[in-house]
Amino acid sequence: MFMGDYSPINLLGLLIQSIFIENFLLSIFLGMCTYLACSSKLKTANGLGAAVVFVLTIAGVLNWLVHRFVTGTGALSWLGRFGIDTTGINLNFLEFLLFISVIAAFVQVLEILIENFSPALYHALGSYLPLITVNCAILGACLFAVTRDYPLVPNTVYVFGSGVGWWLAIALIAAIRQRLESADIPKGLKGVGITFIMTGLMSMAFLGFTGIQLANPTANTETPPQESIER
Amino acid sequence: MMTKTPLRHYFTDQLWNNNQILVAILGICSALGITNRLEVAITMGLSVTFVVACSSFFVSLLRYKTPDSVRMITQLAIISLFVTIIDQFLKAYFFQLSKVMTVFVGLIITNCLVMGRAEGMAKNVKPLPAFFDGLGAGLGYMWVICFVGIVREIFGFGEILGHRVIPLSWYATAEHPDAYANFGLMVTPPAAFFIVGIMIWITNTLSGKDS
Amino acid sequence: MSSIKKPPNNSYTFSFIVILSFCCALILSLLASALKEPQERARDLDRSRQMLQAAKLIDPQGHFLIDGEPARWEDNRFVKGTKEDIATDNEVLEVFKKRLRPALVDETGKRYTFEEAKINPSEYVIEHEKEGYAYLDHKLIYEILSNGNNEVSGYVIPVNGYGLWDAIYGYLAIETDGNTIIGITWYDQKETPGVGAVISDPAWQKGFNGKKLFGETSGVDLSRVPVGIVIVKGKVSEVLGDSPKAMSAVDGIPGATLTGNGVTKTLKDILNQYRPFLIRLTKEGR
Repeated sequence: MFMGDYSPINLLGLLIQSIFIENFLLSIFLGMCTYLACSSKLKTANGLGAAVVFVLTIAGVLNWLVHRFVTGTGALSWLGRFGIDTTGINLNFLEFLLFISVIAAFVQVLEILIENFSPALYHALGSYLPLITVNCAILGACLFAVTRDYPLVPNTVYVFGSGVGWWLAIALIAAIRQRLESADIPKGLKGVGITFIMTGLMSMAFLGFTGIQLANPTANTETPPQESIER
Repeated sequence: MMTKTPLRHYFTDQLWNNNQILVAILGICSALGITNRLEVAITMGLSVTFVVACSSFFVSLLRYKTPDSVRMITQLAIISLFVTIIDQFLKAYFFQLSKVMTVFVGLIITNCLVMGRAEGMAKNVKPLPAFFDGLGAGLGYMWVICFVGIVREIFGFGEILGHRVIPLSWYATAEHPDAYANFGLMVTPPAAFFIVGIMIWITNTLSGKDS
Repeated sequence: MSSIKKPPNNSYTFSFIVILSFCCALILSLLASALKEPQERARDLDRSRQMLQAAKLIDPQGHFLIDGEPARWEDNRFVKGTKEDIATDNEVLEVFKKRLRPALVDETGKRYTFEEAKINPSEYVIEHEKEGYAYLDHKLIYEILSNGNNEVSGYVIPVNGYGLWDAIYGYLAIETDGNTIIGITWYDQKETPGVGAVISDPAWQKGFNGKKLFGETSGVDLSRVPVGIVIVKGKVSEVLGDSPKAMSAVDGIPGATLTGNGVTKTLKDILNQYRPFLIRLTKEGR
């Protein structure tokens, strides 16, 4: 349940994979909206990015728990200890509702905590927190993680890496956009149009990472007896 | 006294003037990842239309009863309800398509388009206009991603809806290595960015706006 | 404009949320139970079709097959039919139940039934679906039963591994000689459409028909020979020519070398687990 078949080197591979190879913004394209609608400053992007990393990591773990103990297949077996027979009950259809509720609730709680403990931080970050709840990347990373059935530690590494990758991409886009403001762009393309094309070029660059497979679990695969005989 | 906007204006406004993807720049996320075949784009477009129309209707219905502090959560709950309905429906009757779309159906929940319509319109107007606004927004979204899907499928695969459009005889072979070949980039996600960027350029120029 | 509303008190907010959640959950539960059967059917139908396709009992267009010719399902057997006889969903499920029988093999290659192992077949199949069956003590296999009687005419091995992006799942059907492939299908993959996803294309899968898992088997110590199929980069005829290795190789998909490598590795790893069983088959032919 905690590590499954993943050895520590796989975790490193998983981290690299989620930051660069399967970058949530540039390879899977989730989380663009909230950003594009905001300003194009690097500072904004950094604030948003840091908040996303934090929320995504914790929400990812919470949602893993939800999937493991409530909505996954066979998840309710722990109720068997109380004598309740749960074979045949499948709460999978509640998954979307529960996941988004967990995320929204967590963000709400976080907002209250920050407001009370650090008003300065609240002023810096406060406006982003509600935006984060509806950030496609957060729900997306949680959903992808449970579809792949990671054990707990790889799941945490995956969601953390996804957040960091998203932050990296947002920061890159913001930095370039800041420069683009002084460039001579055709009227119709200014603003969003050129941002799209620029992001397309960036994602082409990230396509170069395809094929690096570091993250597949290798801890328990048996090596077949005659591995050394090559064709 | 406000002049009453005819119902159909809610609908038509969303199709072009305030098209969610091209003008409001919302709803892009899932649009890009899922448009390399027309069939998938159509399914996604219809699903989003269903979700946004129905959820706008119900958000509007409950608009006076919803306490302000839980407004967002209520909207999310209603949206998740309809997304789950569509997801379950796809899994039962369109199994192959649901395999291709996997988590992207779930991501309709966080699709800024749906929330945007709920926050921007549905909570402020009566249920029927909200419904038409949602319908227009969804269909506006749908025509844009279908257009992207068609371009990508024709140039990336030479097909539309799985039927060959570019004749096999045009393709390069060992004897004629310089003949036609599929534009591989179209199959990859960056192509969607380029196509939407160009579409925005065209719409901005046509409507005389600059961003 | 309406007068300024007083913010509702906490208990109203609380009960609002509770009622809303309850209604949503209720609607979803009703829907889920109503759709549960069609969903399971859709899944089973997809699996059944894929396995029947691998075993060459149905073609991708939906015709049942006897020796490659269109057939009809009548009185619990296939009879000669025409191109107009398309199999219905119910027939596919029926044929699956009648002609593909799940069984188990262990690491010595001995084959036995689920009853003998005292395991419930449907639970077992579902429980280990994700991680695959090859590394378990009881390895899943399906016996292909002949038309009209219960003679075993082949076997289907569920194979799973990693393609380029994510896990791939397929069915490999082999003859009773433990060496010759009847066919293969890949029913679950998330590879790049148009590139790696071509592994699900029947046209490419045809390349596996008749290929040999071990290559030459007579007089060879099979426990020391590589087993599996290699997806070459390019065409087999150009890369391997007339070499005996060509019998265990399949043309690659242009642009999908990495997915092809994933397929090669998957087949190698999984078939190594079933090696004792395959060796037994080559000796006994049953």
